[in-house]
Amino acid sequence: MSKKTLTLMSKDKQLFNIEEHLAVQSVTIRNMVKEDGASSVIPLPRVDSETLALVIEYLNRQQAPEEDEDYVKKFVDERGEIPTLLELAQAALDLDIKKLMDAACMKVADLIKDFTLEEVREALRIENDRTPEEEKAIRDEFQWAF
Amino acid sequence: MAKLRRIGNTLKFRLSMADDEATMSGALVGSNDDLLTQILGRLPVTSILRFKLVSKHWNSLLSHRRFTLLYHPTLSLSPGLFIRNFYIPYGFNHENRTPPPLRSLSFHPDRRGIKILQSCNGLLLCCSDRGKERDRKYYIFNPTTNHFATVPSVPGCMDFGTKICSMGLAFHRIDCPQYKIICILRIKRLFQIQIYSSDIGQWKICVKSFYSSQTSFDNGVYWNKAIYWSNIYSDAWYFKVDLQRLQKLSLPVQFRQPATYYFGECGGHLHLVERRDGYYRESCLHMNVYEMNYDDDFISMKKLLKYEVELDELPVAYPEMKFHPNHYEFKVLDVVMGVEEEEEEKETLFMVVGIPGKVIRFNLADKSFKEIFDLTNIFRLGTRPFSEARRYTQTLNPKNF
Repeated sequence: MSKKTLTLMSKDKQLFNIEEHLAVQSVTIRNMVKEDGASSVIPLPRVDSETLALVIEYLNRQQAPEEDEDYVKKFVDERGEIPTLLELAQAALDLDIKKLMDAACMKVADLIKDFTLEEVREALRIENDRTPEEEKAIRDEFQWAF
Repeated sequence: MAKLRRIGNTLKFRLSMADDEATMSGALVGSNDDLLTQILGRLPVTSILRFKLVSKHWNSLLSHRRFTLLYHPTLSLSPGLFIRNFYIPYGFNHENRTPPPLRSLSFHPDRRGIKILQSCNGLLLCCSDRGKERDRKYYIFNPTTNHFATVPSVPGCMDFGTKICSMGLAFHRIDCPQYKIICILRIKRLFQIQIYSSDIGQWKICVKSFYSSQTSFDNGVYWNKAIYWSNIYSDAWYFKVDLQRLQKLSLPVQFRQPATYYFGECGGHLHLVERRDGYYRESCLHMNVYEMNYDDDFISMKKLLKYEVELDELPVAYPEMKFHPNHYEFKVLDVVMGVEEEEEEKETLFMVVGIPGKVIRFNLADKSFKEIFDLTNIFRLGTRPFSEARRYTQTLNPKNF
């Protein structure tokens, strides 16, 4: 019996092949396969090609179940840059790959947990939507946080 | 931006968002509350409290009931306990996520010292330790943020013939974001209940006067929107905080009340640890652990036997646990959910036991025990300090002082 292959397309229109039985670790893809028999190409318009390559590398892993936990931790550890991890976490969230999403989010949380507020804003590109007056008021109220 | 979409059945919706590309990459997190919630929900409490200040948007996200609900399982795992002024970590697996809290209770210069009366879902009810009772001050203290509030004195408590019998704290991380303090006053031969709400900031008489044959209202436990006191027997009082009503417990009348070793709440369950009947030497090491859920009826409490515990091995391993006529020197300090170091996810119920100079953790599921702390150089008073052991928990609600 030949293994069925699926084709995934990244947002920059690159195509990736993956065996169906591995791809369906993603609940989102599994549901699509179930619904429409996933004919030709599955477009993933929110995932860029670098991230999708990572996701596919993860889905293709050959791990015994008991080593899997360590593997996924190491997998995200090796991609310790916050922007990469965010893309990966977002893709794992969209594709509903729970372990990968858990590990990527946990890694980001670990990296930012001791950041100052400024560092958090910079790392996650969060806009400070408070006026300088509001900012000062809140700093006075929450001195322990700074 | 749609918030907290259900994943899996929204692919079509997601495909239609292909034009959204410009917002991807850097700004990705800022515009996606789903992902943000997932990441922030994995932070320790102290980081979450700090990060509320990152932006207004983060503040509303992190203060939202939805986030509190998501984060609640983490909060219901307690990382340790205070014995007097001293913090002792339980050594569970989840502890690396909760940085150590303050090391002492010197949050306020009270020259009589401060002791903890009750620990309730992240807040501590404290009071002056020594000195005359009428000069005693009460405090609410958040050990995670070091915020505290001095509780105004109870009106009438200085009157002749009046004394404070009991103070109880009611605070729920989700259902009751404002805390309440329930005071039982004894006025000559009658009792009165006054209640203090943190949002109003005033005491109010709630039950003007009642007679009770129950005279001790010690070690209040807040569970299922009510305060229970540790001497639970048939016809004992409990106080429904939400209805502000005093009610009687309907329990089957028992010929003899077995010794209560522990009475407390953990993760929505009420636990009662009682000595099992028997008159032989080891019988005081034999106990029953009962567990109640919100929808269980008190009358059937004794049917809710969850664990039978035999600590016979303890005095063998720790000979310092001396035998006195009819009891060994030990005290049950806490019954708490935790995760063993080696186990990744599996939560089990633990009983934390204090013996002279040591704190022991007993896994109720697999009956193994482990020494978690050596107190020999800290307290030299046998098991006496253990009566002041209170659990440490955290709350995401720091602003209600």
